[in-house]
Order: sequence, then structure tokens, then C-alpha cells
Amino acid sequence: MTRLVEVRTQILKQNDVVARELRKQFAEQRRFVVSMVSSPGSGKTELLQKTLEQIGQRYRVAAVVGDLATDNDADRLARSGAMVRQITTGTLCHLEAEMVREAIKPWNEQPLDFLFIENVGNLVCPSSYDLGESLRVVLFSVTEGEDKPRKYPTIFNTADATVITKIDLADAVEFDEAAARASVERVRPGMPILQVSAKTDEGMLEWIDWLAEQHQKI
Amino acid sequence: MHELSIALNVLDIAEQTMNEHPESELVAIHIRLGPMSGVVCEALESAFTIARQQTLYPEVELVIEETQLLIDCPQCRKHQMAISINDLRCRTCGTISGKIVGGRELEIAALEVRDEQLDDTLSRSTDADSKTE
Ligand SMILES: [Zn+2]
Repeated sequence: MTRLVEVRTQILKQNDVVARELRKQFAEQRRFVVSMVSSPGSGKTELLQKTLEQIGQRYRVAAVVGDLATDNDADRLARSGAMVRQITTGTLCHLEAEMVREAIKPWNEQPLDFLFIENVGNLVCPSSYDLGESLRVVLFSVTEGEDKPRKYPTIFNTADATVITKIDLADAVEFDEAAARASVERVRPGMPILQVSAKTDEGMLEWIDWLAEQHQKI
Repeated sequence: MHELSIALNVLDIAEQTMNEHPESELVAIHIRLGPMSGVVCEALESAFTIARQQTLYPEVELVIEETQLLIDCPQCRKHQMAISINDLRCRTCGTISGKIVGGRELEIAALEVRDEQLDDTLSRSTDADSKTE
């Protein structure tokens, strides 16, 4: 004979607790924290490098990068002149709040306006993990197809903004912008959508201004 | 594949809870999983069978209750089922809603345990009953 012992606990309670503490800390420090998620090859590192360069002219910025053992995006990002720290996740396909807390410890006393968190290139696993970020941005490139949001609805649904990347290639791949927007709208109605090319700088100014505007709101 | 991390989290919480119930034996873990939780049911089940090998409960079962995806429909003015996770329109009237009110669940509902002492007492009393017959 068995009986039920009620538990009613979030499975990711441990992560949620750390994320909540981080969010409180960021608010006190007036740090605006942007996490970025995407598939591998969507141009996330390229966009982040450009973003750090350009926003770094107006604000104090830093970035943490989650890398599988085989990648090394941190070196590339450090060329922007921003402070960059790497989190090597080994085989783990996502970042967790505790990893972020450890990685940013050296900056705890440092005044920072923006902190960027580049998650591991993956559109599935990061969706369940709150990192204490102010804003979660999901990226997809014009080369990945307009229906990307509907293939990965959970990550798009947990995001606060979509950035469509590599728009310099839009014509070449016959990218259907209206279809892409409709696809986002189905899984996250009302979510802001920006379009950029880190290569030609198209849309970069709007993206940077938009980030600055969000920062004002904190 | 983050389902292995999730499975390990489930077993961790179960173990902590069982520490408060040393007289009981863990039989099954009941969880609630929403379609918008980011966790795939089948993947979690197979990860769980691997993860449990490394614990005190290599035989423990995982019982998954799959919850429904519910939105707050502005047209119907009540909670309604959405078409699917990649189409958040109301199943009844087709209006889209960004307000998800159910379907993100990723939680442990209960632990199913067996109380050895209780069973002992029961079997003893059954023995006693049979003797009196
Ligand atoms: Zn409706």
C-alpha cells in the first residue's frame, strides 16, 4: 500500500532562487542585463561584437559568453574593447544562473550600465533557465527560414524581443519578412522585432537606440 | 539535451524530501509538465531511467501528468485552450492571446511512498486475523 506525500516544488527551484537574487542585485546596481539566445550560426557573436563596440562608446559595458569546450567566442569579443569573461559549459547545452553569478563576481563592485550574456548556441535548452536577465533576446538569421519561431515556440515565447540577423542576405535567400513577423506573432503576440546586419551595419543604430531606450526604463 | 539535468534535479528534490521521511520507501515521483515548459516528455522519461541508476532509488518510477496549454482569451473573457504551443489562438474563437495562464508547469507534485512499519502492522494484523479463523 502506498500513500502520496505532497511536494509542490518547482523542479528548477534552485536555479530560480539564484536568478531572483541576481535580478535583485542587478536592479540595485542599475545594471541592464541582456541575454542572447540563438541557434549556432545565426551570427550571434558577430552581432554582439558590433553591439559592444557601438554601445561601448556611450555606456560602460561587459559581456559573459557561454561556450561549449570547442568554441572560443570570448577572444573575438574582447577585440571590441569591452570586458569579457568566458563560461565554459563543457557538454552542457545551456547556461544556469549559478554559472552567471560565478562568472561576474570580479565585476561585482564595478559600475556597469550593460551586461550582455551570450548563451550557448541552442534554441531548446536555455528556455527553461531564468538567468536573472532584464531582457531576453532571441536571434534568428534570414538564412534559417521564416518559420523558425514556430519550430521553437518555447524559447520565442520566453523571450522579450526578436532580432532578425544577416538581413544583408535577405534578398539572396528570398526572405519573406511578413511571413517571419507572422510566425513570431503566433507564438509571442506583440513581441518587438528588430532587423540588423552586423556586416553592413544596417539596423545597428536602431538596435543600439532601442537598447538604450530599454535601459532608461530601469 | 537538458532533460538529464532536469531528471537529476527531480531526483535531488526527491532525495531531500525523503530525508524527512526516513520510515518510508520511495516508490514513484509524480510531476506536472506543461507543453510550454521547454521539456519534452519522452526525452525526460529516458533521461530519468539513466539518472535514477546513480541514486538511492534505482527502481523509482516517474509519473508524468501533462497539463494543458491555457490562454486568457480577451474575446471569450475566460481561460481557454490554445490551439498549440506554436499557435496561441483560442481554440473556441480563434483570437490570439499572449497571456498564458497554464502550460508552463515544471514541478514535482508529490512523492508516492510505502510505509514499511504501516505495512508490517497491517500484515501482522492480517496474520493475527487468519490465526483466529
Ligand atoms: Zn476565445
